[in-house]
Amino acid sequence: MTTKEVLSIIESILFASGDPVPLDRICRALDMDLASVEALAADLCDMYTERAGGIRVIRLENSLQMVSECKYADYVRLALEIRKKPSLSATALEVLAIIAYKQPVTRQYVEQVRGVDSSYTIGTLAEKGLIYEAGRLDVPGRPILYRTTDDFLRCFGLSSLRELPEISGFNDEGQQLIIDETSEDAAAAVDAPDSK
Amino acid sequence: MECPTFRLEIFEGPLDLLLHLISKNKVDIYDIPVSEILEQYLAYMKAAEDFNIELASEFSVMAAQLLLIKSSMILPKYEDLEEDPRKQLVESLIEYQLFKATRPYFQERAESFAGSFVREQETLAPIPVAQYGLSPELLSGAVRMLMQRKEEMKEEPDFHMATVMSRNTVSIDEKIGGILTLFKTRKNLSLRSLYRAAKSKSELIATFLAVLELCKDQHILLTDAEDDLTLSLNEEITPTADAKE
Repeated sequence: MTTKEVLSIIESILFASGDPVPLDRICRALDMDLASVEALAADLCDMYTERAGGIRVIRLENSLQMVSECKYADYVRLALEIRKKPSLSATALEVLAIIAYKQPVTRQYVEQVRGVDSSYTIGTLAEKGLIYEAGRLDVPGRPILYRTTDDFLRCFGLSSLRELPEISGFNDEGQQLIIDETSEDAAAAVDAPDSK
Repeated sequence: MECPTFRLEIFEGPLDLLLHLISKNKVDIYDIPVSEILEQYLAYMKAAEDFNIELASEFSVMAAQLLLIKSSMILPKYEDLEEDPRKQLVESLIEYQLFKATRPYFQERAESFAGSFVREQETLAPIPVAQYGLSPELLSGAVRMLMQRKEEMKEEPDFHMATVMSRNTVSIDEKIGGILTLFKTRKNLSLRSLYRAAKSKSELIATFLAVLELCKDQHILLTDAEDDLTLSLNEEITPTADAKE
C-alpha cells in the first residue's frame, strides 16, 4: 500500500466512525505499528489544516476524530436549525479547571479547593460528557475519581492534556504569562498528567 | 421611600468573596487584616440577606472561621513559635486563586471551539463476537449427566406411574421459556438440578435440548463446575422469554 492509500484508509475510518477512533484500532486494521500510524495521523491532521476546508481531523490524546471547522459554526447552525449550546457557567469552568489540572480527583478535593459544595456541578459536567468516573480512590468511603474526557479536549480545542498551560503561569487577569520554553518543558516533564 | 438599586456581585463561594475583598482593599494576602476583612465580609452577607439571596451555608462557616482567627489573634502570644492562625486560610486562598485565574482561559477556548461539530455514528451493527466455542468435553459431560439422571429416574417411585398416567410430551420451546424464567430470580443454574427437576423421559430430553439450543443462540454460557455444569446468562445478549419462535 502506498502512503496515500493508507492515509485514505484512515480518512474513511474516521468518517465512518464519527466518534473519536483510538489509534490502536487503526493500527490493528492496518497491521502497522503505533509509531508509523502516529506519524501518518499527524500528516493527515496537517493535510486537513493546509486544505483549510470545512472539515478538520483532530488528535485527542490517543484518538483521532473528524470534526467540522468551528469558523463556520454559525452557518451550520442556521442550515440545520440547531440551537447554540449554552455556554458553561463560571462555576462549571472552575470545577472543570480543577479536575483538568489535578485529575484524577475526588469531589471532596474539588470542594476543598473551592470551599463550596460542588456535587451538582460535577453531576452536570458528567452529564455533558466532559468528565467521567474513573474508578474509586482506595480510602475509606471509596470516593469516585473524576477525569476529563476526549470530548473535553475537543470542546476546548486541545489535543492533549499536556497542552494545558502551566497553572502557575496565569496572573490574576487570567492572562497567560510567557514562560521561556526550557522551564515550561522541564515543568511539563515533572508533572505531566499521565495520559492513559 | 424609594429604594436605590444595587447590584450585588455573586461569588462562587466564600474563598472567591475573600479574594475579592483582599484585592479591593489592596492588602497583602500573606498579611490579611482579619478584622477589617471580616467586617466587609459580614456586610456582604447582610446585603445578600437583604436581597433575599440565599448564600450557601459555607459562607457562614467561613464567617465563623474568620471570627475564630480574629479572636485568636487578639489573644496574647506566649511563644513566637506559635503558628499564624491565618496560615491555613492563606494556603487555601492561594490554591483557589490559582484555579480561579484559569477561568478566562477556559472560557475563551470554550467559546472559540464551541462550533466544531461531529457526526453522530450511523447505526452500524458490530460483528457479533462468538463468545466461546463449546468444548466436546462440556457436551459429553452434559450427556453423561443426562444418562445418569435417566437411570436415577427409574428408581423413583412415581416414575413408572408417571409414564403410564401421562403421555404429555414436553416441548423444547416450553423448556427454554422455563429456564429463562428461572434466570429471572437466579444468576446461575446447575445443569444437574435442572435434570433432577425433570419428571419424565420426555421432559429430561427436552431439558437437554433446550440447554443446547440456548447455548447455540449464545443466550447462556456454560461453565465447568465440579461434577456439574453451571449455566449463566450471557449479559451481552439480553434474552427475552419470547425470543424463541
